[in-house]
Amino acid sequence: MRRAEIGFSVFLGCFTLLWLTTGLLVLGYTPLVMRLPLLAGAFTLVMLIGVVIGFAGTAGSAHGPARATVWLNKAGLNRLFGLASILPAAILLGYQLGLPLFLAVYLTLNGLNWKRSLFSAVMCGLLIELVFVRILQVSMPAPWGF
Amino acid sequence: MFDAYLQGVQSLMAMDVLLAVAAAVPIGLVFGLLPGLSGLTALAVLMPLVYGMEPLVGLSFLLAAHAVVYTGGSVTTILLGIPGSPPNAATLMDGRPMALRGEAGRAIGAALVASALGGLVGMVALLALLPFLQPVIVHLGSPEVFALALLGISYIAIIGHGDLFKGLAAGGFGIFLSCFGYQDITGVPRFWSGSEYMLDGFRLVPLVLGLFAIPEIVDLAVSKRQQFRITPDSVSADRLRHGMREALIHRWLLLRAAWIGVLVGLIPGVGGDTAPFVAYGSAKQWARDPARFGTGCVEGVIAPEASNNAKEGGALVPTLALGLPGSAGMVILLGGFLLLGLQPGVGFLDHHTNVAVALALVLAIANVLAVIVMLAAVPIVVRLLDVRGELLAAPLLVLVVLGAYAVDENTMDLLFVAVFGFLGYCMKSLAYSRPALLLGFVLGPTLETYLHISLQAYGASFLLRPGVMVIVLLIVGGFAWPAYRRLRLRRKGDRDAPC
Repeated sequence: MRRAEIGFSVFLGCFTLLWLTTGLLVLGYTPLVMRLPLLAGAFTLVMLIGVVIGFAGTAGSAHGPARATVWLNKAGLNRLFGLASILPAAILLGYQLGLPLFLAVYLTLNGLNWKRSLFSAVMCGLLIELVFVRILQVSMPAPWGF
Repeated sequence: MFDAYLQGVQSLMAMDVLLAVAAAVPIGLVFGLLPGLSGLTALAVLMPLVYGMEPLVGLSFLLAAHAVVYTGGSVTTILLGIPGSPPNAATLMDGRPMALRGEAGRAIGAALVASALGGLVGMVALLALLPFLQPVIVHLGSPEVFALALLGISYIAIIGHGDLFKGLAAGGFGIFLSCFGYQDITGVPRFWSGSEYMLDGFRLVPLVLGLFAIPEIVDLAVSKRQQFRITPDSVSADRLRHGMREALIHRWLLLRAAWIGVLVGLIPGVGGDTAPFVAYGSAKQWARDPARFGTGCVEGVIAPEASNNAKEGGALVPTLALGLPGSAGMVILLGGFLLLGLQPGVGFLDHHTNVAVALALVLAIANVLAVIVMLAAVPIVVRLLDVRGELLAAPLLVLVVLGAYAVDENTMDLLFVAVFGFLGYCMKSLAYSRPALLLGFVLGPTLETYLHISLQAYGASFLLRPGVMVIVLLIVGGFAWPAYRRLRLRRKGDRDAPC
């Protein structure tokens, strides 16, 4: 956990530093343009250094355990990949077809009986069509290649 | 003036105005319940519908829908741990732990009553302040507005649960993220990397959904241990009533938070999303035991919800009196005024005080009506959500995808939901304050604009203006007060400890 704490702080710091350096040295922004990014970025970096020093000095114990979250196990990871399949489903098949299909397949694979899965998919399709397309006038993207 | 107030009440009593309010409330609540669809989206989507309506009917429709979005959002926030709209993020900090402890009904009851009473305070404030505030608001210069935005940021340290450095780092990083895209002052696009999408910088809705929705969905999906624990019993009528009573028991906290909402809402440009965070910070600061905040205490639900609904009353004051929107939602409402042939600003109150009074009453009616509708709907909402965690994750993700896409109709938003989702998951795992990041992101552009104007107009000496110095003292006090209290408690503990 301590390594993750320091690693995340370093990641945020590097991200900030990278953009500050790019803005100043590569893109050549004027001081007026860079004023707030510099103030905010420098402030963030100083605070992150404070976080890292705090952890390096106390071995993390003084800050208590990190807040409860669920670290990934194998079954969880599989479900996570299942959820991630929403993006290719939506992009390849379009939202109106891809999202209900994703829902039906995911729910069935995770133990819901197929009738309920199908019902959920139909409700999802109706939600998209009635609320988003008809009422909110959202133009849903077409399937890939159309 | 009294005649105008009377006329306002009479105009509100028209059947078409009341019908417009009755129709708008459920629509606003649905927008609040759906994660990602904020009051801004509600106003933007509904505005074309009012074209051609009588001005008061159209404005009542828009305002009622916008005003109750946060009431619906509070239920989603507590039940799912996903802010229904960005300002509900402050309620997340205590509302969600309460729900996980089986106290969802208590939290929802308290949130709904706080929302309704907050809305009533907003109405009272609007009615009372309209005649007097115009000269005061005119005297607020850019330096004072900049300092007020800094005051909002200073509460980041209080919001940050536990580690001050992490809270401040998250807030600073939020401001830094707000710097991407076109700079308001010069029009120069910053850090856009040649991507057309990034010309407008990071978008608020993908950021909110990524930071708050995705980590919850991942937690639901990856662990059977972390199942959705809201049972119909936890939102029984008794528990709802218990929560409602608690909101009344904490009436002084509720009133203080509502007035904070009104005051923050009054400041053009600063209001909006800042108010609930400031109210939460204030409640924590004044609490006898601040350590309870963040662990699921009802005060942490009451304060942000009361300020959330009260701020709309405050935000209407500069919108009507000066034509300066007090919150982001008021910007769109201002467009609604223009669409209906009214021009808010100096002089508006001279000719249309009755409209202003009627709108204040619309705020009150909509807020009370929303609570009645939500109290009836909560058991249905919970039953719909009474499924295994890993199964709930999928429909929630579908809603997130639809919500993220619907705002700008841009598939790139989905990519950023995923990116911010990763960031949010790491922040949640490592106890960084996600609301602090969001607050920094929201306040970033305000800070930059008013800092620039202040420096141009007064140079660095703007810091010596009396108003600014008072606000700076409040900021210093905000940092010093918790430290002082901790020190006092420690000394007291040492004195009480057995030798």
